Amino acid sequence: MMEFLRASVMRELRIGWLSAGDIVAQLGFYLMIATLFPLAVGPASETLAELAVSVIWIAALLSVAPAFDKLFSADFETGWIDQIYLSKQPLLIYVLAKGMAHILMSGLPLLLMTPIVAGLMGLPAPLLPVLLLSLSLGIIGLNLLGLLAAALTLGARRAGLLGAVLILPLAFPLLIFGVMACEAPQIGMSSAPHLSLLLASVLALLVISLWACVMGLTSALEDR
Amino acid sequence: MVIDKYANPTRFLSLARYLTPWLAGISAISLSVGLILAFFGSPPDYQQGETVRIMYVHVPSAWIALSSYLGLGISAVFFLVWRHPLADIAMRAIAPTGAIFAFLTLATGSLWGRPMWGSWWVWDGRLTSMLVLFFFFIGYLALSSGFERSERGARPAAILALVGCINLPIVKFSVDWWNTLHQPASILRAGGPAIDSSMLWPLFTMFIGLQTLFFLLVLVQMQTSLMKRRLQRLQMEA
Repeated sequence: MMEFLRASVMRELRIGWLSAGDIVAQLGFYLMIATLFPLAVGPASETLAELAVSVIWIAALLSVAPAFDKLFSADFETGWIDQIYLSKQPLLIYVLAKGMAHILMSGLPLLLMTPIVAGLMGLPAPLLPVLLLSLSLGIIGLNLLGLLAAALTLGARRAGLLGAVLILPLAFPLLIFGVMACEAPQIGMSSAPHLSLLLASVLALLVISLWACVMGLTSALEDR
Repeated sequence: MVIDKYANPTRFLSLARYLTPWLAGISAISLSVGLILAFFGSPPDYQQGETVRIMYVHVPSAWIALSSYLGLGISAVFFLVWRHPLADIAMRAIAPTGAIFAFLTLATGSLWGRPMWGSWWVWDGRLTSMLVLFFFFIGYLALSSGFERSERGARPAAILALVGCINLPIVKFSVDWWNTLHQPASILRAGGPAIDSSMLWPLFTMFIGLQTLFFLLVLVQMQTSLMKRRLQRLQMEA
């Protein structure tokens, strides 16, 4: 099973590398949303610094949420998922590999880009580590939701928009706890409780999303 | 189990035909009595004045919106586990009706909030979680009708409905977890209702009226979609 997981992750990474342009587009989108705020709010640095955490979180949320519509469609049309379904390997491992590869290919670059965006927004430097920590948990959670949405909207009309509509309400706890974790140090409180709640949400999503994702794929195969 | 007996659409239809006039009658009578009591038969609140009368629509709508999502979740289990043939039809009828009641809750709350809290909307725990409940209804509707063949959307939408059930306890207990602007539960609580019987009766009557109206709307929609399917089958055979 570990062998299958390793092989699947490698396969996803190789395929993902072929469409690296998508990741560049996503990063550009992230940067652009963060650029829109200073243009709309005005360049006053105090206001921007105050908004920085919220803006970065929302920009991350909006650039991650619509990126899942094509996650399973190629494997579904070529019959790759059917083959796994018919073989003895569990679909769960395939889904897990898909998620891990997606986090590595698109989540990690987003995280690496965040210090630059934080600099543009004038985020106070001491806040950067807690922002990165909360955002990395948030991105994992968002990817789990993305797996769920991708499996449920497989074969739907306008799957991208539909997927974002399904992801965003479920992402509210991630956003709330993530932003609160970054705001707590500003008022002299500890981030730890909020980070724990964020981690708890991610772990709950791990159970719920992977289950729902496998169920969704199975239903897509059976009702095709 | 009784629920198995009505898996047969014909048997269900005959039951639904029998129930429909009863539900319509009970709903019409209790809504008229409830509205008269709410407007003329109950006193204005000593703090809220006449605006308290909005509660007679707001509170039952909120209960119905919440319980209808629970109904959606239970139907989802019946659909996913036992493939109950009526579960999908029931879900497709419950979701739009529940969405309307959720919207009604938000709208009446907003109308009441303006004079009382001085704001149409506040980002309080209960208001936000009710809005999220409304979004889940919208998500269900979008997903269940988002496929070329509508049967194809049934299972993904049922899975989504189940996932959305995690929001239900959040809505219910939001007023206890976050000490916020929205008042805590005053009917179903330890130590009996904290509301005078002159207000409890109109509230109860309105609840019966709106709840039977909800059942009526769901039953009629289910009958319609069963008829539609039968019609499609006849057209295919012809």
